[in-house]
Amino acid sequence: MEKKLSSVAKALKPSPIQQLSYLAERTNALNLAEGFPDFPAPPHVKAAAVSAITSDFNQYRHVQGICDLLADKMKQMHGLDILPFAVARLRHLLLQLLNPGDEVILFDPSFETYETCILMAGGVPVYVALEPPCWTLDQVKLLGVFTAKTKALLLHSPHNPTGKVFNMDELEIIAEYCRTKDCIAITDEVYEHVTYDSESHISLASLPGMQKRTIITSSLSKTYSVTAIRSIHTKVTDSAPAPFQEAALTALTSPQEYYKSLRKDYESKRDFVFKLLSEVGFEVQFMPKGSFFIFAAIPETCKLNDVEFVEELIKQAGVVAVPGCGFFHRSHYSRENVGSYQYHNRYIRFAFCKGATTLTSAAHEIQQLIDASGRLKLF
Amino acid sequence: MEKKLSSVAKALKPSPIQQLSYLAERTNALNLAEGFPDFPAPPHVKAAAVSAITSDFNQYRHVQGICDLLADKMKQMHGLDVDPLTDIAICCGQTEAFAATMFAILNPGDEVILFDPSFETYETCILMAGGVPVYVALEPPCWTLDQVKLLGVFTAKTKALVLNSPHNPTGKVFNMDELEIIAEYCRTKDCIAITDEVYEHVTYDSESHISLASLPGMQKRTIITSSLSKTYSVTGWRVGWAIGPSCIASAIRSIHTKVTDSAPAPFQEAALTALTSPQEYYKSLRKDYESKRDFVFKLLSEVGFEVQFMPKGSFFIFAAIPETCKLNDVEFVEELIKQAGVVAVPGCGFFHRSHYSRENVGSYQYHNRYIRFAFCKGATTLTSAAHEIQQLIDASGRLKLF
Repeated sequence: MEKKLSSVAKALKPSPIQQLSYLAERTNALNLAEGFPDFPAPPHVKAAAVSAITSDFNQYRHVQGICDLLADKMKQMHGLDILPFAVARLRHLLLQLLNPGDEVILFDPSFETYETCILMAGGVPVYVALEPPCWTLDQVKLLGVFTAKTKALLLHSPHNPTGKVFNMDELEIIAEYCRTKDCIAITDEVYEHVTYDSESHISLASLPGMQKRTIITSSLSKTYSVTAIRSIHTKVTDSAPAPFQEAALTALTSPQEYYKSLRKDYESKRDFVFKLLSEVGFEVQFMPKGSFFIFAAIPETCKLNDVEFVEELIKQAGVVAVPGCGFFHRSHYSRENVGSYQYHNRYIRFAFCKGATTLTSAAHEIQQLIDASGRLKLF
Repeated sequence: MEKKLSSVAKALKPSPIQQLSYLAERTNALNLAEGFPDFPAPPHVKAAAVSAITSDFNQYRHVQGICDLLADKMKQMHGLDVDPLTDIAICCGQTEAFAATMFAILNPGDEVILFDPSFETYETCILMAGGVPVYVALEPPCWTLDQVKLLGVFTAKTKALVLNSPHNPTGKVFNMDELEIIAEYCRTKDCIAITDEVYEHVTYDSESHISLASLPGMQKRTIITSSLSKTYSVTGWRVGWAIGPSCIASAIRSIHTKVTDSAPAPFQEAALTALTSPQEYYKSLRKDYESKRDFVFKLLSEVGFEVQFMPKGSFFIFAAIPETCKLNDVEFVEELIKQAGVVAVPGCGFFHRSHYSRENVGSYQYHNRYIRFAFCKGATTLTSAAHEIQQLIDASGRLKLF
C-alpha cells in the first residue's frame, strides 16, 4: 500500500518533537519539550466552556461574537480597522492562496508545520536564514530570494523557537519588499500576548500598505493556555468546536490584569530557566523577548550534537527538550544563502511554559550532572 | 486581492446549505435543512466533557484509548482486525479525516469516483488535493447502482472511490450485492476505497450497516472515516477518525498533526465515555429516529410529495416535487420559507452533472426536483413544521404550491 501514498505523504517526516514527547512519556521525563503548559487553563475560561456544553452549544456553529471581539482587539492593539466577518484562517488558508509552483518565503529557524501545509497546497518553501547568535535579519539575503514566482511571505513573531520579536526596523524592511514585490504576508501571531521586558508585539499588518496584503493568524491556545481547545479561526473541519467558540467570547474579554499577569509569570519562568542554562554552561547569548522558548547552544567543547545531547539529558537527568535541527531547512535554502551551517546541530529548544514544580524539579535534576566548575559534565 | 486567490479557492462555491441556514436564522424559520440535532446531546457524554475540562485535559493530546475502543468496535460490528497502535488516526471530525486522507493518497490528476447525488464537501477536498472527481449517477427513484455505468468510469488514472453509506442525502443503505460489485471493481482495478460511515448507527427497519472494508480483499485497500457527531449528537465537537492500512493511517496522522495539531482534547476524553455507551443507547437512538422518519415521511406523502424511496439510514428524506408543480427546488424552498416558515435544502447542490463522464448519458431534469428534509430534530420542531405545512394545503389535501 505504500506505493499508493501521494508524493506529499511520502515526503512527510515524523516530527522529532512528537517522537521525543512519546519518549518522555514512556520514561516519565520532565517535559520541557512541547510548547504547551502543564498547569491548568485559567478558571474563568474553563468555566465558560463547561457552561457552553451544559447549555447545549454542541452543534456546528459560527459564533459571530468572536469576530466582533477580534475586530476590537485589532483596533486596540494595532490600530487596524477590520470588518468583523473578515476573520483570518490558520494554516490551511495556504490552500486558498497557493497555486502549484508558487513560492513562499520563510525565515529559518522555523516551526516545522508551515512547510507541510505549503507543500500540500503545491507551493514551494524558500527559506532565508536568520543569523545567529541573535537571529538577525539580513536585508540583502531576503531581497535575494524574491523571484517572479514568489506569492507570499510567512512571518512568525514572537518567534518559535528563538523567542525573537521582530522589531520595527526589521518589519519595515519586510514590508518594503512585500509592497514593491506585491507579495502577500501571512503572519503567525499566536504568542502575541507573550512578550517580555516591555517589548511590544507589533503586527506586520499595521505598517503602511500592509493591511491590504496581510493575513493575520492567531489562536486562543497560547494566550489562554488551552492549546487543545482548538477554537482557532479556521475552517478545515466544518466548524471550530462549538462550545469553545462560546468560551472564546469569555476568554477574549479577559481583563487587562490577565494579560499582565500572564506576561509577568512567563517572564519569571524565562529568567529562571535562562539563569539555569547559563550557569551550567549553555551558550545563551540571545535573551528571548517573546514566546516561551529558549534556544540555547551547546558549547563547542561538547562533542555531542543536539539529538545526542537530548537523548543523554533524558537518560541522565530525566529531562526532555527539543533538538534544534528540526527547525532548520537547509535543503530549501536558495543560492544566496551561502554559508556554513554547522550550528544547525548545536541548538536545543527549552520550553518554559510549565508549572513551577516542573521547572524547579528539572533544574534540580540538571544540577546533579555538573562537575566541579559548575558546568554540565556532558559538555 | 481577489487575484491572489488560488484557482481552487476561486472555484469554491458558497454552500447552499449554509446560506439557507443563515436565511432560516434571520427569519426564525423551523430548520429541517442542516443535518444536526436541535435537541441536547446525551447527558452522560456532556458530563464526560465537562469533567475532562475541569480535570485539566485542555492541552494538545492524543488519547490512545479511543483507538483501543474503535478497534473493538470494528471487530464487533464488522469482524475486522484493526491494530489500535498503527491503523487509526484521530482527526477533527470525519470532515478532516476525509480531507487528510485525500492529501495522503492523491497526486495531482488522480481520479476519484463518487456516487451522485453526493454530499458537497468531498469534492472540495478532492480538488484541494489536486484530484479529479468523477461521478456515477445513482438512478432515481430508488437510487440504484448501475454496474455498467460504474465500470465505465474507471480509467488508468482512477486512484480511489468514495462510498458514503448510510447515504446523505437519500437515506440509502448500500446492500451486500451492491457492495460486492463495488468491491469487485476495487480489487480488479487495484483501487483504494474511502468510506464515510458517519451514519453507521442510524439505520432502520432492521437494516444493518455493512462496512465495505469487511468484504473479501477490501480491508487492505479501504480507509474508513467516521466520527462522534451523528451517533452522539455532538456535531460541534470535532472528534472523528480514519481507520486503514497502517502506512496510510500513519500519513493521515502526520498530515492531521501538521494541519491541526490535535483534535479537541477534552472531547477526546469524552469520546471514551461516548464509545462505551450501553447497547440500550444505540437501540433507543435508532428507535427515536425511526419514529421521526415515519412522521415526516407520512407528512410529506400526504401533502403530495413523491416519496417513493423510504430511507433505510441517516436522518434525511429526499423527496421529489411532483411534476405538476412549476417551481424548481430552489424556488420551492424559498416559498416554503416565506409561506410556512420552514426551511429544507434544495437538492440541486447534491448533483454534479458537470463532472459526469460520457458514460453517464441521460436526462437529468430531476436534478432540480428534489428537496432534502432533515428529521434529526426535536418533537416540537417536527410537529410545528407539520402544522405550518398543513396550513398550506388545498381541499384535496395537497400543497397549494403543487
